[in-house]
Amino acid sequence: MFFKISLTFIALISIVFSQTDDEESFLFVTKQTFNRFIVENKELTIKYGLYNSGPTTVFNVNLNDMHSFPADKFELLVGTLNPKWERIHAGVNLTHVVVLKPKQSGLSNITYAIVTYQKSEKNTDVQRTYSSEIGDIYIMTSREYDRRFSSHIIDWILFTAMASPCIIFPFFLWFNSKNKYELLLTKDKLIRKVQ
Amino acid sequence: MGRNISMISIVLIGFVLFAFAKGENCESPQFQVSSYSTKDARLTAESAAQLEITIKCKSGKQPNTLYADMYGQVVPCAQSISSPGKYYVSVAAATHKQLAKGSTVVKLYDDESYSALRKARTEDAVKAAKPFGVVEINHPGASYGPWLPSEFFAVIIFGLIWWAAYRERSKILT
Amino acid sequence: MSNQRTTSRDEDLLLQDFSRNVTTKSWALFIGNAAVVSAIPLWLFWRIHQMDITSYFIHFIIGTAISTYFLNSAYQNMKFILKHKIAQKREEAINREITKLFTNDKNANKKDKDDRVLTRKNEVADFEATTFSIFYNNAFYLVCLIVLSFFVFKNFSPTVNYLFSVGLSTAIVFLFSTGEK
Repeated sequence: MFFKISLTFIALISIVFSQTDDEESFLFVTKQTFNRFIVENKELTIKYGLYNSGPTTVFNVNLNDMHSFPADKFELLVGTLNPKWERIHAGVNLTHVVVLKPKQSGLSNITYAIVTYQKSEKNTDVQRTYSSEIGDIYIMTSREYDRRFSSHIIDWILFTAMASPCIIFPFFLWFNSKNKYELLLTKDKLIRKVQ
Repeated sequence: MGRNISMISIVLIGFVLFAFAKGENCESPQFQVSSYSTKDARLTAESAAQLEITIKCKSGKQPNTLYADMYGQVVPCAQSISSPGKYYVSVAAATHKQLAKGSTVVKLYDDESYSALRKARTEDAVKAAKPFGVVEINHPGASYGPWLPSEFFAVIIFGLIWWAAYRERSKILT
Repeated sequence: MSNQRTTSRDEDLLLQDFSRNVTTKSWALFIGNAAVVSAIPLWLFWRIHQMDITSYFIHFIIGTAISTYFLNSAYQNMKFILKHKIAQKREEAINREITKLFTNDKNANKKDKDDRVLTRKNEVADFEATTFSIFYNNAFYLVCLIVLSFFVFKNFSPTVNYLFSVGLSTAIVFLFSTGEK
């Protein structure tokens, strides 16, 4: 009797333990860009979203994305490519924003970031996960982007200034002559009427 | 006598150490903030804001974790591995309009104040939880560029000139 | 004898009135204006479409040359049409002007006066037609160019944009220059 009870007790405990083993926290990391267009020498905004799906807190979260954006091709403006969080509680949705400036134009490929974390404070087993990747991107030259989007008001003003003599000058000459003869006509008509 | 003195000194040292250990918390922190927010609404599809906070403590060590109440959400701040002492907190908004324009207050909590905040169950208690510090972020708004592209003005001007010319020509040719 | 002389002079004047030949001065004016008006939009293409001169040199030269030639023809066409209409309109006013000049001079006879009127009419009509033709065609050309280049062909490549805008606006101006309405 006692044996049976202890067995069931042990079984129950092991089930409970195995259950908690299955209900582990998992960190989902997404990586995406906010840009509609990626243009050289203009800001490129990257957003990392971290979501702790499980019931427990994860510790010592480390995100490393230095390999995606080498310093010779991208300049870091805002944020860090190697952040860490001491702990992320269960169910928390985090954002980390990094702003870069591409130095070169052309086709480029952006891969995933590497994230490591610990499931518990004492247990130093490091879990490794990968973020989503952005894939192939096309970096426009600043010339193309300027052509479509920058305001050219000064250029238009100068163009109007240059083109106006070609239009105003002939108009002026013609108008003077026309007025002179039409006035002559109306003046004479008035004089005739008076007479 | 000698043993008594050594015992007292041990106790004293113990007290001093204890005092040191207690004084771990950052006292009178000074915040240096560099903020960023999306300014070009045509280049990006969503808006983001980010704060880089450097904390200088008069005494005590840097807070282990920093939490920030930014735009209503309390999130832990990231720390940089390469440069300790810098904390980053970011917020992303789904549309450009959702990121509030102008100055917003961001409350910072360290471990102590954060646990006090979490324990608070009522609105008053939440308000009473004293933040570690308060910083501000200013978002000037994301611009969509000029209201009307400049070529419209050029077309209107030249169009009017041409139309006047056309009328004169019709008058001559009648 | 004098009859023959006057008839040949009359004929000359009539011929001048109806001929399409332009004097050298007129021709120089037309070509100069056409070249300037064809060259000015290059600035727009350089600054706004970011077409740098070194790589588009050939396109620019060809475009400007074609545009100059056809704009010149358009000027001449329109001038010829307008000259007659203007001459008709100015007949009376010029008559009065010349009459005023001749009131003080008793030696004048009707023949001289008519000659003077005809010459003066020719002059004035020529001048007004030339200036108006230049004014109208310039305005029309620039409007067509702006509309085509920045609205119709906006999203095409710079080469296509330049060639089609200049080509089409030149063609439009040239075709409409012979319109009588």
